[in-house]
Amino acid sequence: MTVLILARDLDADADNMITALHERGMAVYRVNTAWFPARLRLSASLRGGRWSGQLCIPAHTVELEEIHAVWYRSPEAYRMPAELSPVERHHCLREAKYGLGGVLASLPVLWVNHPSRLADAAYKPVQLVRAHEYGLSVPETVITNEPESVRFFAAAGRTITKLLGANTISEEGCRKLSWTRMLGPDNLDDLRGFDVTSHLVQRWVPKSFEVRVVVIDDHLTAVKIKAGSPDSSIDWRSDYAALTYELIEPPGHVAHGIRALMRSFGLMYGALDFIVSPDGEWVFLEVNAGGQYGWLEAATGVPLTGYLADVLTKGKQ
Amino acid sequence: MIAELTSFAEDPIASDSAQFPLARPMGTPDNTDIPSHDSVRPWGLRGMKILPSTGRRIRTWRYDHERQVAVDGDGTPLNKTEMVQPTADKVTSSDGDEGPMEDYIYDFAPDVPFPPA
Repeated sequence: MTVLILARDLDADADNMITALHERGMAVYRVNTAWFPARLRLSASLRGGRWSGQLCIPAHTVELEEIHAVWYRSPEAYRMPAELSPVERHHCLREAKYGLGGVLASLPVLWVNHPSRLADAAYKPVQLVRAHEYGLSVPETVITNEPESVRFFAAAGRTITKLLGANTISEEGCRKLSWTRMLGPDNLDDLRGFDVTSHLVQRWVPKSFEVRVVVIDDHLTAVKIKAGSPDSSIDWRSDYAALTYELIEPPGHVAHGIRALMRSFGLMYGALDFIVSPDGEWVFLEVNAGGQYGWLEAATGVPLTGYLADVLTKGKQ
Repeated sequence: MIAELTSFAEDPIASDSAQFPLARPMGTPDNTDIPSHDSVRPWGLRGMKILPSTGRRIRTWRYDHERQVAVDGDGTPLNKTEMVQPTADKVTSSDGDEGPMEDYIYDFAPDVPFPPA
């Protein structure tokens, strides 16, 4: 019985999970896919319908057949030798993906979360439809590359925009990031560049406060996030120093919808964001299947690492 | 065709969706591309701001393969030194979804090859 953690080298939550699993008497191995091929060797044979063999990493050998749970935390992309030509390198990356990646993805064990389920859940438009299907309120939303469509939508009420994918880019030698923005005349008058790709605009939902719900298997931890500054009232990520946290119990129908949504995506772990309106309505914004939880654990004292360690220890039932 | 394939080929395991929560490879130099003119730069990028530093810097660290945790120059696990512990008052602003690690991006999908090891 072994837990496999796929994570980067510098990851405090992964470090803490190693400790938590050791405290539970579990054998645990941590692998960063970036070690392949220089420091990670794979030897797998198909026997009886499943892959058996070893992952050899510095200081450890992982027996594939002994793995009963995988925490897919945040492993890095493979790193190929510098001597390869671009075509050769691309070939190696693709073969590694289908070879090592395929062997791991085939393991019939508990995944938190399986990478294919993560990929499925990454699309906000899918999340919104699915959330509505399971009884959760969702904001009016438009996704378009037509400037007239966004002007028409914005004319009907306060409107925000946010990115559909990652909110960071690497450019001009530095990292840049973007938060949710309130639309006004200044940015609606100049929509140059709107037509070059999809953009998401959404009706502003009046807020009493926001909530992040961390789901670990069937366990829900809902944390009320109260904004204390103008910036954080639009996007709480923009001003962490102004936030206060408090545990809160979600209404029964919301909890039911969250669990149904998670089951439909095949996710064992997720961090879901909600707005709670002044009249108490919970409005779903998104689910982050790889969302962080460490800072909420520190702020609330809820033992999220322990909950996750228990799930990994138990494995597939 | 190659350009299309590279959008997902560097993801280690996931299906060919090109959307996959890979961490940004540590040590990867930032892209030096210059923003396009406003007439073509995606409107959604207008709100981009330079990532502020959390002021937290880990002077020396290495990954200890035996203990399977990151350690400082003296061999003390970093999670025992609180240098990288994700506390609420030290969380980065890089992304609330993805919290305390400056270099963690939720759905990083490497569309361009990054430097080899």
